[in-house]
Amino acid sequence: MAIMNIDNNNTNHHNINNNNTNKTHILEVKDVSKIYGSLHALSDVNLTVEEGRWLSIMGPSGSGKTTLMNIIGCMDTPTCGSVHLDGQDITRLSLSELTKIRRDKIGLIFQQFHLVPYLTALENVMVAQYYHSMVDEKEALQALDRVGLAARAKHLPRQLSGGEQQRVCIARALINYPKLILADEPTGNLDEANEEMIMKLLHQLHEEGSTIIVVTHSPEVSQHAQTTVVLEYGKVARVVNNHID
Amino acid sequence: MQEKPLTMSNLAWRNIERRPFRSCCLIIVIMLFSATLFGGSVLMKNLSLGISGMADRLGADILIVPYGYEKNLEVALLRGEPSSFYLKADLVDKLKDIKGISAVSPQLFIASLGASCCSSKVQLIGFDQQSDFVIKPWLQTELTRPLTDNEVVVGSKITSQVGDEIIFFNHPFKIVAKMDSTGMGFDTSVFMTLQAAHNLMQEAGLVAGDVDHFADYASSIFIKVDSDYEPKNIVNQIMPRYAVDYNIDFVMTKGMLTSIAKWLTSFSTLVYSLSAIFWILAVIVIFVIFSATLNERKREISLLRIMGASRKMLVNMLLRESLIISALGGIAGIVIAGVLLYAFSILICRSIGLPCVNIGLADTFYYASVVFVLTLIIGPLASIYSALSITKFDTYSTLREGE
Repeated sequence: MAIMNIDNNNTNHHNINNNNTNKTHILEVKDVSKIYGSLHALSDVNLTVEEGRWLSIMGPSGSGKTTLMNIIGCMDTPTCGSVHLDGQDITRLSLSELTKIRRDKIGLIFQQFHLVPYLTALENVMVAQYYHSMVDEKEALQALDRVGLAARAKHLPRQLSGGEQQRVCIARALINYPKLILADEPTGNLDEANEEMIMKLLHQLHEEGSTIIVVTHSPEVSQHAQTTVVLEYGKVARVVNNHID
Repeated sequence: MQEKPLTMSNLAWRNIERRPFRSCCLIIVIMLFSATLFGGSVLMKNLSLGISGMADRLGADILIVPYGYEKNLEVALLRGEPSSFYLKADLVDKLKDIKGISAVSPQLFIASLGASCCSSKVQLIGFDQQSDFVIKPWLQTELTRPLTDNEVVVGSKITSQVGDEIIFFNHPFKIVAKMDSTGMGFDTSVFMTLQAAHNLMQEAGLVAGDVDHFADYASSIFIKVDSDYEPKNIVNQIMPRYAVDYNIDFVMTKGMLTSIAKWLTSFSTLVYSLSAIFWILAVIVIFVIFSATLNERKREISLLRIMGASRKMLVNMLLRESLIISALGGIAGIVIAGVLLYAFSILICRSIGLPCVNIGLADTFYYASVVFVLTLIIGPLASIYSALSITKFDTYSTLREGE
């Protein structure tokens, strides 16, 4: 596997794209920093991601992975710099505006699944529809079917295995046709068999054209992506092309 | 396989369902308030109706009683507590000469021993059929002929029926009529001719001494005043002429109610104070419990936030949750108080010792609505602070806490 080392110069802009395509940029992160008091969680991070790419963000604890994900996922705003998601500058939006962008454009997959415990698998998918626009039970069931869980639609999260819960989480992330799927350690809580199943699902989604960003500390998970961005001390240490194109 | 439609109320309801103990405790606290306020209000209204209409239902404006027996008469009339007291009945004829009196009728009260009809002593009342203007209006069916000395009319709450035989002082009487509910002591009294009452007095030896003159006794004289005259003026005419000779006192039926009205005011103060305490208690308890569950629910709220729920939507969901709890507590309290009042209204009125008349359906609905609205305010008012503050924290870091 060829690895492309990128100069660790803060001013470098890391284009995560195919060289020969004219695809639009789904995400543009320009000179983004996030500072908490004296702590620089992110320092001048630059990234550009084309539509349909699969990117993984790797790095040790405290490297700024979660902070970057929060900013890309419209759950936080940078101290300085700008972030454009699907052509829209999300840097200076209010919380409610960020909520709307997140609802309309981002599908989130979590390490701990985070299903609503008192709702069935089907309702967990439908609740995302509810907050997005309107509930369509048939479509929600189709989403569960896609992740192989139609038969478990009526089960509560506690009646599902970890892998099944993560698949519900994926179905929920997909239900509103997001522009970007953002997965935070999606296999971090799963055994090998379930990890394989989840990665297969992500591959399917990618083949269908979804843009995927996976935040992980696992090199194995990272290798599934076309490109791996390695963060260290809040900076992009290197960008690795995994040659899966 | 149709799922229950997912709505804001449905989500709120699911939250209530999954915390049954917490929800039940909150519902019970709210129920205490609504039951107290609804039950107390209806009971007060029942009593108020019972009392305010009593003067009209009694039909008399002035009651003459032996001096010192005003209270005995009041309790006999209000609660039906048996009592015996006497004055000379020839006063009746003398009163007829006084201008402004439209009707005069004597009644003789005898406290019975245990009778076959009743679990306790009843008030026997002998009335003069010719001059009576108090008893006749309450008969369920008009008597086609005068009562004989072996026949009685019974109050609405006497369990024996028309045609039954009833025994007082070893003397059997046949029940020939039953009265409508008067909301007064009459409901637990038995009515007979004045002569029959005199006979019982004699047989039972209720008056010592001049036994030859039993026929000359009555317990109370009921006076109806002409509408052009004031009862007070009539009393002022009677008093100087007969008060000393007959050793009598006067009970103004409207005045008799003043003391009861005072008691009712105290009772209503108690009910409303208790309701206010329960209302404040409910607000505090819900505030404390909703605030205490703030931490427990942070993740759930964060998740919904991340999934796209706006702050307004979440506040709305939390307020709905407390509104549903309030509504359930309110309905439970109103239903329970309503059932208790309906089932035990007689017992409650008796134990309070006042007449009461059940309020109509429209009034009941009015009270239920007012109490329900006051109850509905509790939940949202108590949870608004928690609802607003729970949506302020950093969403994703909250969701990842402990990972």
